[in-house]
Amino acid sequence: MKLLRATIYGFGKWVDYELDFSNQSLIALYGENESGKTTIQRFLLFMLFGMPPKQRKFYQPKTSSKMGGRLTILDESIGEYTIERLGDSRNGAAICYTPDGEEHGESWLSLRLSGVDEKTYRSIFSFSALDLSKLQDVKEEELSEVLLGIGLTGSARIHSIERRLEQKLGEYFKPNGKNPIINQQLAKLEVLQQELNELKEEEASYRVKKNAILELQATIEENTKTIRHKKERKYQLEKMIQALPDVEAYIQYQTMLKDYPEVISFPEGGMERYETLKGKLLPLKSDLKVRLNNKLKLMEEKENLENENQQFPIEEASSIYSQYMNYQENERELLRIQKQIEERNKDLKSELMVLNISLDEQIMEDLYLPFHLEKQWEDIKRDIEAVIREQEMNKENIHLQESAYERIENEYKNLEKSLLSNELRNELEEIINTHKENKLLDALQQENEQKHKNWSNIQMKTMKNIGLWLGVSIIIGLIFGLIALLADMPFLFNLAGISIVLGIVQWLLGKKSIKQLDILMKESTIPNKISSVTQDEVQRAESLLHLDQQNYRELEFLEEKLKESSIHLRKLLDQKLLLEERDTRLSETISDHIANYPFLERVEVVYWPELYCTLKDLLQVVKILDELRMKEKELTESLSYYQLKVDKFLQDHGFEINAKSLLSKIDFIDYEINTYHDREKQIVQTSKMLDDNANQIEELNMSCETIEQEINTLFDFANAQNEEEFYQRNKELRERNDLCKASDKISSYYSSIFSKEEWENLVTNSPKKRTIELEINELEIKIHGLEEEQEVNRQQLANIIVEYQKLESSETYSKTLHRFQLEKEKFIKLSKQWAVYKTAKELLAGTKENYRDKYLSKVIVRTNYFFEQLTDGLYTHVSPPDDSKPFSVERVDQLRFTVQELSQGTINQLYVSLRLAISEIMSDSMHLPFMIDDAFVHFDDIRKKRMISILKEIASRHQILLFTCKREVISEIHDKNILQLTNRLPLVEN
Amino acid sequence: MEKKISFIHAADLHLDSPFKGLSDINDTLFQEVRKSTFKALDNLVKTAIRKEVDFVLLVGDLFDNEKQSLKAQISLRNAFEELQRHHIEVYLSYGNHDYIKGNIYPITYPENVHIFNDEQVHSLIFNKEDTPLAAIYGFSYENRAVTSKKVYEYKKIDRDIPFHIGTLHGSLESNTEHDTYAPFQLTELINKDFDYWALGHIHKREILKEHPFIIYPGNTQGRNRKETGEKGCYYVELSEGNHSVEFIALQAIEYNQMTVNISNCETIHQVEQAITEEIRNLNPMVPQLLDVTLQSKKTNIIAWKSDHLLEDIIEIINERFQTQNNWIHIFRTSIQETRTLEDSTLMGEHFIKELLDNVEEFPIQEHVSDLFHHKQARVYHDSLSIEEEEQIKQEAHQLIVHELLKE
Repeated sequence: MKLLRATIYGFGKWVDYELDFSNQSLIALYGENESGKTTIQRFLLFMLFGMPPKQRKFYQPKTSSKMGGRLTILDESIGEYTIERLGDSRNGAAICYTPDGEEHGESWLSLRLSGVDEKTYRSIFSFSALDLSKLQDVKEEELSEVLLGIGLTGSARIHSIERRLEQKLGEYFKPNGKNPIINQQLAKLEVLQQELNELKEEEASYRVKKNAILELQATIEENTKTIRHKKERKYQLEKMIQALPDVEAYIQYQTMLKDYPEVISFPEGGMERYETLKGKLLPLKSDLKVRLNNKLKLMEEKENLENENQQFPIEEASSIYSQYMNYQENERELLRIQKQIEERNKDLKSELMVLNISLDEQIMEDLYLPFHLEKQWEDIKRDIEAVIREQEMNKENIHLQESAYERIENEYKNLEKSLLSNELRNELEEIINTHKENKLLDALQQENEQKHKNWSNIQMKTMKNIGLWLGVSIIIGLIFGLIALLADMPFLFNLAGISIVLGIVQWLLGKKSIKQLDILMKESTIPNKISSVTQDEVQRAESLLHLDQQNYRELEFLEEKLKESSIHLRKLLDQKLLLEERDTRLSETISDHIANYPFLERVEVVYWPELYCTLKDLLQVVKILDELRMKEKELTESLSYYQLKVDKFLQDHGFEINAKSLLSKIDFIDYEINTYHDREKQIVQTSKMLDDNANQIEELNMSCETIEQEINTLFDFANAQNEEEFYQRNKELRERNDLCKASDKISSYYSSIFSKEEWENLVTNSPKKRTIELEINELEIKIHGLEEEQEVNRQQLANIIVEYQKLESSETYSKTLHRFQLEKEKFIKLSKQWAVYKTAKELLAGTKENYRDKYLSKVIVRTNYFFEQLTDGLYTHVSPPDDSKPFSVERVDQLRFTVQELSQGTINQLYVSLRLAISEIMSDSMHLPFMIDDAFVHFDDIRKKRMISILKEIASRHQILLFTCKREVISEIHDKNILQLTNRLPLVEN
Repeated sequence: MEKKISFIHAADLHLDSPFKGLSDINDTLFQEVRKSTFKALDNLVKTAIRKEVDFVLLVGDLFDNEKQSLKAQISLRNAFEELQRHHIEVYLSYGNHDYIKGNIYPITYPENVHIFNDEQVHSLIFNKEDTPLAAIYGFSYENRAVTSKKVYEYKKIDRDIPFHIGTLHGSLESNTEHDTYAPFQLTELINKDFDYWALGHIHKREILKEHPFIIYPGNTQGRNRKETGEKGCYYVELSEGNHSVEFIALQAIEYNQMTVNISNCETIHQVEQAITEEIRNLNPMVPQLLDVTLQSKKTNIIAWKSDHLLEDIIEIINERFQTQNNWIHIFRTSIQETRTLEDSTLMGEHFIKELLDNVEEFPIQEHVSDLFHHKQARVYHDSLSIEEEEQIKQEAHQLIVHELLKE
């Protein structure tokens, strides 16, 4: 691989600069210090491997915005291609243009460069004077290591990795350590394991505990049973002691019982039954006796009552009593009527008193008023009233008429005096007439003037009209004549002639009328005025004439009225005479009536009609009074008859009574009737009671019989003849029963305590109290012992059960087990991590060793070659460092020197040889160009020459770019291989 | 009346057996994890009661003799008592983990529990209303292992009984992944003409066959990262002519795997966000223990791991999700670098290439003997498996490469 051309668009101080490596293998780039050699180196590296942004920024030219460039390379396998990188685009990534015109990216380039990165490249393919100066600072004992480190990327890093791994391993684990984490974890695990074993042990005791529980439970159960038996026995014995007195009593009762017969026949509850029956019988018997007595009494009572009733005349008494009601009614009626009579009488008297005319009751009774009388009295009243009223009116009218006549007469005389004289009147009329004529003449004159004006107008118009008429009629005549001529119609000539004639006639007529009118107009002229009268004189004459005329008319009217009034007065005087006559007639009629009815004398004629009405009412009252008096008499008779009847009844039946009044007599009769009815009721009741009584007596007898029968049955059952014997039997039975009961009570009381056998045994051979007490004592001691034992067992069982349950519910083992597993997992994890570190460390060491073994021999052979060349055969052999020995060289005189023993110059030469060797070996597979930057500054001329020849030799295999600032160096190199930087470009200050 | 039975088939309860692979969990989670097998049992009992089954079949490995806790058996007894209260029978046999002779606790189970108490196959009859409805066949492990072909001993008794159910704690002859106990072949079981084969021993549930049903119900609670997903039992209904099964999940905590691609993450916080995002999407029904695999094409993930940043964010994420009701806990994080080996050689680093050459044949056993053969320490870990060795080597290699290339 070879660099052919480089074009710098802009990089550091270089802008638009081109480098042509002219297809040479060895290129020396000459430039003095600060001439930009290093920048070009950096540019080439940038082209090949790229550059991080920060560095790119650093190399951004100050004078140009461009940053980047192109580099053309010749590759063995694919030929020429160009890399282009721009600082500001694609983040500095490369584009490669191949000869076939394709474009490739960064990865393609990387492949082309065999994956070498800048660091590797620099460590293998480039070295400089700087590397050598560093060498001087290296400590002697590390020199060997440094020399070996050449070509190993970051041998120092490998070293540091080794150290770090060592440290990690130490942190993780030390076979005999305590603090490393794995050791700690291990300790933890051991503790847990221990704990786990203990817990497992504890859980394993589960089975033992379970057995112990079962055993203890069995023992406790058995003991409980024994204790219970013993306690029962003890209790039995205690009861026996208690029972001893009762047992004795029981025995006694039993012997006493033997004295009584085995069987005593006595009805069940016999005494009570007997007593009850007897109790029932006694009241029944006494009741029976009472009822028989009652019967006798009732019969006697009944007989008495019947006798009394037969003696009393009930029917007669009832009839009288019933009539009494009627009597009472009549009595009340009588009273009512008497009252009425009294009232009416009083009314009548007062009525008459009010009238105050000569009338009394006697006259009233005889008085008769015919039906027409009322009408007659009425007429008389009306006539008198009418006559009086007319007379008054007549008198008034006459008076009025006389005064009216007088007044009119006065007025007439006044008017006659105010009338005008005849001469004066004529004079006035003359003045007025003259005035009227003057006025008329004025009006005519004016009218005439107007007529003249109108006339001249009309004359003009008429003259025109008649002229026109003449012309038109002549033309029409001519037209007709022409038409007649042309159309040969002869009749039209006639027409033409007529029309012309008519025209001429018209014209002539017109002329004549105008003339006549003219004359007329001139004739009509107006006469002149005669004389003149003033306006005032005329007006005054007129008003005087008018007034006089009015007065004259009124005088005529008054004369008429006077005549009328005298006629009216004469009529009124005639009427007055007639009225006086009517009055005389009426007075005669009135005196006739007074003669018939003298009481009218004291009454005004006007009130006669009212008097008639009052009298009629009074007559009605008198009539009613008469009727009432008749009724009164009838009633009084019927009442006295009834009283006699009563008295007779009382006398006939011998009732003696002191009371005189009818009422008390009737009361007495009523009482007697009631008494009779009461007795009757009593009789009925008594007989009913008798019947009841008889029934009851029968029932009672039957009940008594039944009870007596039952008593007898009881006696029979008890084998008793009578009550005494019955009582005897009862007593025997009771005594025997008491004995039985007492002994039964004792035996039943103890039946719950002792069994039947025990009881019989106790009764037949009752033990002694002392023996029993002894046995009780023994039992108590035994029970006490057992109970204590039981308590101990229980406690033990409880303890075990607690432990057992604790085991069952305990999660400690389970928890520890899981915890242990967890910690173990952690341990395994840590162990694996440790294993990784350990493996890494060993792997690194192994690789390092292999690596050396693989390359070292080759490197040493080449180093030998270069070193010999450089030293011109002074040193013949170079030995790599051994386990203990560092680098050593062998001089031609076969003396051996270690690196430390060599001079600095020799060390430099050795370093350069080694470096070149390594680079050559390493770059076997990668033919990248070398870049050497003044690595030979300190070499003398001879050595420089040797160096150049070595480089020339290497250049046959690899392209070499040699950067130098020494003329001596370039003097050794052919011109075509030299690029002089200073000559080519004026430097731009950076 | 139609003859019909229903029952629950479960196995491998492994009550109170510790979980494997959990190291960094807080106390609350630890307690929940510890109780999870019991919770699963509790769920089983509740399911049986809810479904009103006739009986429950428990086919071996109810607990582990080696790590036997009394609590395991007490809780079993309590569970059986609860079933008894609901008139549910229990038929159980012991397997290779709870073999009879290894049991040190003489717990007495209630009367509804019927145990196959020796290694001879025999049958127990299930009666319903005094009518025999089902014959249940089975045996228990007396010792740690049964290697004979127990399948030969199953013989159908009394053909008048409508249903015949075989229980067998063992594995297919062909299955070499697990210890083969009481081996059998599928055809051998089919030929027995039973109505249902209730198997146990394999922790991954599987319906081997449908006519008749031959079923491994799996275990009831996953206890290591390989036992992922839902765990539970089968609810079985047998009637004449119709057999149906239904899986019912019982696990209290679920193991699950999750892969997160973090190739696009530039910073560790983005990784945290990516993982949190994925976890948020889970929405689980029960608490989750997650085995997270991070996929990335970039090397920064190695850096994060080496600098323990990854550990830190996982801790943060765990803290975030541990308070929710169905908590989520990442118990393991592994890294999958999708970058090819070629990429690393491209680095042009001779040394790294040399490292890679070395790593393949690198014998780690002799180098780790300091710890792994340590007198006290060796008790607590098993010798490294090939897989583990490979992983250690891989991690070591990654570590070195990362350190070398670190800027």
